Amino acid sequence: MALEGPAKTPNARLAADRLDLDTLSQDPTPDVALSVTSEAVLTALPSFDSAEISVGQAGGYERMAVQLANAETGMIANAMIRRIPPEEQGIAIRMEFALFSAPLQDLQRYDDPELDRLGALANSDDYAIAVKGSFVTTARGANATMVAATLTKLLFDGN
Amino acid sequence: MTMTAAADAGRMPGGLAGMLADAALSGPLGGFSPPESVSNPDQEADSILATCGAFIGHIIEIKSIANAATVTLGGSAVSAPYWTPAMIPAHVSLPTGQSDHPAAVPTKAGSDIEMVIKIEVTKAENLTRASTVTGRLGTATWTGRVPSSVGTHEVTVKLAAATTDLADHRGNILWQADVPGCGVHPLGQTRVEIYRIVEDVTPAYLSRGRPVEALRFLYDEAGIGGADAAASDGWREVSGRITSHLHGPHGMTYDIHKGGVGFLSSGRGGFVFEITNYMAKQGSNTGPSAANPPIGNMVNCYDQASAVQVFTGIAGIVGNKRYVEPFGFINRTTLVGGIRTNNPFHGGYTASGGSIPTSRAIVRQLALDRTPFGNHEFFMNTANAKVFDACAGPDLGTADYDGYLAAAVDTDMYLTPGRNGANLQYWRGQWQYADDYFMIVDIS
Repeated sequence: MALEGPAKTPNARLAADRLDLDTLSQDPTPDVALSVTSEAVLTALPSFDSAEISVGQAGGYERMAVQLANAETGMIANAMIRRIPPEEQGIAIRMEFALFSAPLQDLQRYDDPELDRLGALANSDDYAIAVKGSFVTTARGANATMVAATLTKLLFDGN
Repeated sequence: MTMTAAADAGRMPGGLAGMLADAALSGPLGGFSPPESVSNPDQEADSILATCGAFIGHIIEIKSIANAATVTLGGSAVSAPYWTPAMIPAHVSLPTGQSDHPAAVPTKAGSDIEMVIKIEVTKAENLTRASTVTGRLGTATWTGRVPSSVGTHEVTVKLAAATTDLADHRGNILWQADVPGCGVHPLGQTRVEIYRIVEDVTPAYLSRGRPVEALRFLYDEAGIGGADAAASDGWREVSGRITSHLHGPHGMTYDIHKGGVGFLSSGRGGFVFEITNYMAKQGSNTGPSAANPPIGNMVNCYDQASAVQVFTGIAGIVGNKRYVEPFGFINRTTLVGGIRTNNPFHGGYTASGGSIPTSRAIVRQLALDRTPFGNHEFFMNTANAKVFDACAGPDLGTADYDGYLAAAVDTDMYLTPGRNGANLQYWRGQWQYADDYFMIVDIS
């Protein structure tokens, strides 16, 4: 099966271990819409002054892309929030980390009681992943941990 | 814009204005008789636009295109008909070479771009013999036969000969009817955007169709036009042009800092290749430091192998990505972005927890700061099992798997004390991973 390969690369196994993906089990949240407004995003993430949001379907998942920027500071971050059935989330997250070709020794799990899982590259904070209910958010760029966590929570705040 | 489209744009009015002008042209000329010196006006229709006034007709639809592959526009599948007057307002806002109903046609087995068009004849007085319909776009000419009688007629038109050359047909086809005994009558113009592809292959990532945006990229930027899809080395020519373009002129650059990915994300059963962002060079790789904004054109080998696979697939050639781990130290090569190196991760990077110093692109073979590829991925076409690598090289289909590795990897390092761990044991591991280990299941 295609999934078995990339999910077993060193970084994928590291992610499974550090983020304890084997215990990642939560209830789906089908009633929560994959929807946020740019106003709500900018209010929740005031270090950015623009947010472009697009929604679509790819790879079998509904997804929303959010591009954040601050014209004054030059700070940029990208995030993608996907609706993934809970039973598929663990392997999807493993595969995300399989895409890194450099060892991710600084991958770290954070505790956030409002989320089912939160992890990030601790040193650079330029890559983070957050999970709550049916949603998996990956964020890259500036303040990735904050971006991933905040966007994920926003879905639930507005519903 | 292609030469075809450019020539067409210069010759034809185009758009709504052109349509209306054409429509007007077919009416007021009634009553004109061909000069007596023209013994057979029908056969000289190309040079004499004449009408006896007994015939009026218009093209009202391109109903279908034979063997057309599914094409998407803006992510949505395009369906027939490929032209109706109702599309004119949308076409007015598009460049002459673009349509809101584009098409792709496989051509390896030869194609005469056969189309079924609808012609509405509203006046046909005392005419008995069928008329010849001609449609011209650049050097391409479609012909067919339509009854010279009032009514709506479906007409099959096609080019004079089938060809296996990759080509595009973009712009306004100018239609006319050569009516026996009654001269030549304009039928109107129809906007088309048709691309020839090699074969209508449909790997998983093309299950929704071929993006016309990518077909434009292949013809306008990668320059696949003119290649003979049926030639014995046609596969190499087409895939090579694509690979060469992605390695050089497209303007990507290798992540010499962390080897990070910029255009892939996970999907159900594999990965999604972000083709729209790739063409726009708007990736998410953060490059040397999280403090920097993402560097839109920064890639790694997974991006490049995926790009070669997806774009060659859209062009109509199938193949698989090959993942090799461990890979090892590389012989001097040119990484995407024109980076001449035997030390791929020489760029260094910074993070809040410290920094990795920069090194030099070219280092001595046994230099302590020489870095290897932990793994590597490239594309191999199915039919010939040759390697195409748009990340390093480029490799353009001249080597098989073993030959590629023998040339790419610094095997001398195998004998270096202390380096065995980093060395690729590729002879043992070469078939360890299945085809498409990082399988692309969708594009976005």
